[in-house]
Amino acid sequence: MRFPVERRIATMHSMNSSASAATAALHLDALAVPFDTGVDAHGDASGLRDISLTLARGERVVLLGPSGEGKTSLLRAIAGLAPLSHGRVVVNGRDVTHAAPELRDAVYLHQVPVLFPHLSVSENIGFPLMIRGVARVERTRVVEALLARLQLDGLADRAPHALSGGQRHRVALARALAARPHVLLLDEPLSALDPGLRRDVREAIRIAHAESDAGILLVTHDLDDATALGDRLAIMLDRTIAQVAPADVLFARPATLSVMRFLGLHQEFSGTVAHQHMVHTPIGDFAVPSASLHFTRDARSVTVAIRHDAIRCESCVTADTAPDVLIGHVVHVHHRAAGSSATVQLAATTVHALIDPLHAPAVGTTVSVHVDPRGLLCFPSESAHV
Amino acid sequence: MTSTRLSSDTRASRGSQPWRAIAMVLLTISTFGPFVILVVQSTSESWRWPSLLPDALTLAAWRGVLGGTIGRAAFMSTLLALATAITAVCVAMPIGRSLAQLRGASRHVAAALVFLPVAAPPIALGAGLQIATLWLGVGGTAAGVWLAHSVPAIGYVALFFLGVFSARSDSDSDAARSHGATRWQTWRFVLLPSLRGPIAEALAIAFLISWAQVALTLVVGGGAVRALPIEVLSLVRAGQDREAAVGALLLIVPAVAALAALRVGVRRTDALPG
Repeated sequence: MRFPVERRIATMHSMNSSASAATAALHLDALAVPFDTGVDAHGDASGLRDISLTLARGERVVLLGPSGEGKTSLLRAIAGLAPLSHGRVVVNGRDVTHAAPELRDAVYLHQVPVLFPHLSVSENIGFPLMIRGVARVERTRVVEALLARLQLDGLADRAPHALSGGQRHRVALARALAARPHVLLLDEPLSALDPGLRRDVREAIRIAHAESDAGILLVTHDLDDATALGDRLAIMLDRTIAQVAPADVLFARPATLSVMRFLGLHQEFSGTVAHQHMVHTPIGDFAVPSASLHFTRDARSVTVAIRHDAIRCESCVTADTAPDVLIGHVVHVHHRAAGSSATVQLAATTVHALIDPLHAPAVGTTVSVHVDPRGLLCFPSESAHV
Repeated sequence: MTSTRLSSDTRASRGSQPWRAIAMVLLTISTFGPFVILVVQSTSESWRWPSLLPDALTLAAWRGVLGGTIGRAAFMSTLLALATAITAVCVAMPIGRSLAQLRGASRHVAAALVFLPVAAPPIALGAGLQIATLWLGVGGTAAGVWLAHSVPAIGYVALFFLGVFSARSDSDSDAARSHGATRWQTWRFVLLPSLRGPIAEALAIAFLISWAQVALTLVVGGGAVRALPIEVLSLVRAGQDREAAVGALLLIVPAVAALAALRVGVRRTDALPG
């Protein structure tokens, strides 16, 4: 049952999107999905549009986007549980656009695990096999193997209501694996879970991934979960997929101003192009990144985005401090689990700069601010590709 | 201050106790009085005004139940009620589910249509159904009465299932289908087993609707279908009080049984964890 992970990853990385449609676990081609209720949370009736995405076998893609963007609608449409108004869904090379949900080989897992209350844990896990007419002996063998792999030993005869939250997630995943789908669609499996349970469910998803060559499309709101679970991240904005990329690429090079703003990893400044290779901002002049040169040729004003971790604050300001170093005073200090930062008032603007939490400057202290130009991106003032 | 309020509450409570006791006595008499009278009437040799109690007791009327007209009528009523209950549940459950899946104005319109046979006076409904059953060639037969009883029963039970399905999400059927179950398998292996309780309640509701039906049985059956309520009505009109009392008591049995079953069901539900 175990799929060779190395081979799978090699396959995944060697695929390109155009060649992979026939052999991919899932291929979405220009999908348009109306909202279940007719309108979205903002009253918009347009629905999802032009959704194209390819998942390799064994690949995990995490779908990220603001609430009400239609991520659940997309997953349900792929599973055949919600209508499509346009486009094509291909699972393992087979066009299932018009197929019934049970014929799609795509299992949709609800945010809250839906276990059948009248069946025991083992009967729940064996459900996909039972309805396919698999013999009892074979069914028992598969169920026992899944119980062991998802660390559910000893719970086979228990009723769903007698399980903990983490155990329910594990049973739901085990049942999905028993169906041997080509695609697993996980709808926010980690939301509203406490940190301990979150770790438990993350681990269960990893086990599920290791046990199957199914492509996994997972929805989450949390960037940490996304980077922990996704081989690639797909950002959904304005009713479509704005960018799909591995986490490191996405964080370093968000494709649009909207994606950059959604990720929240950068600080924005308005900039003026001095000449094609140089941009002037309130916190200094910077060389335009090579990826942005094509539009700074024509643009006059740009939005400059600098990663939070590229702006650092130093407490020591001495007579020797170079004249081009930014000097300001601390107006606020923030201590967070992820790191500490200070709000620094400069001459022309305010910046948030990382600080050493053990040597945090006091409010009112004069500090110097250093910007690493490698963390800088330029966007046209209106959203467009870099 | 608290003790003052407590004592005044206690006084108020004590003050209302006689009225409460009187109310309870009146309620008990009005609820059980008719049944006690029926029991005494059904076992009395003769019980005439102004005697407070019967002159002598006998079980002659009860002995006549098995082989007599009351027994046959009770059997007919049981068959009709069972057939109606099964028909109503089979037809109304999918209707209730479909109604629950509707949204907006269409849901209200559809629910109103389903409610129509429930809201219409039985005699008016019976007049319409009599013509329909005559067209179908089942007027004056048990099959016609069964069809007629099924109409309001389906309405009631559909509304009952509308409530049941509105309170449930589609997530379990979605999960079943996503894991490979066909529509039929979803009904067979997921929805029906998890709806055992509501189905039992719906069967009881439809059974009781048919069991107590007088107007529809009379109009559509044309007097040829001798269900228990019709037989009791005839006995009352004929002045056969003892036999009528026996029939009336038999009419009460399913309702009491249903109440007792519901009570047991509630206890079992309460016992479930969570």
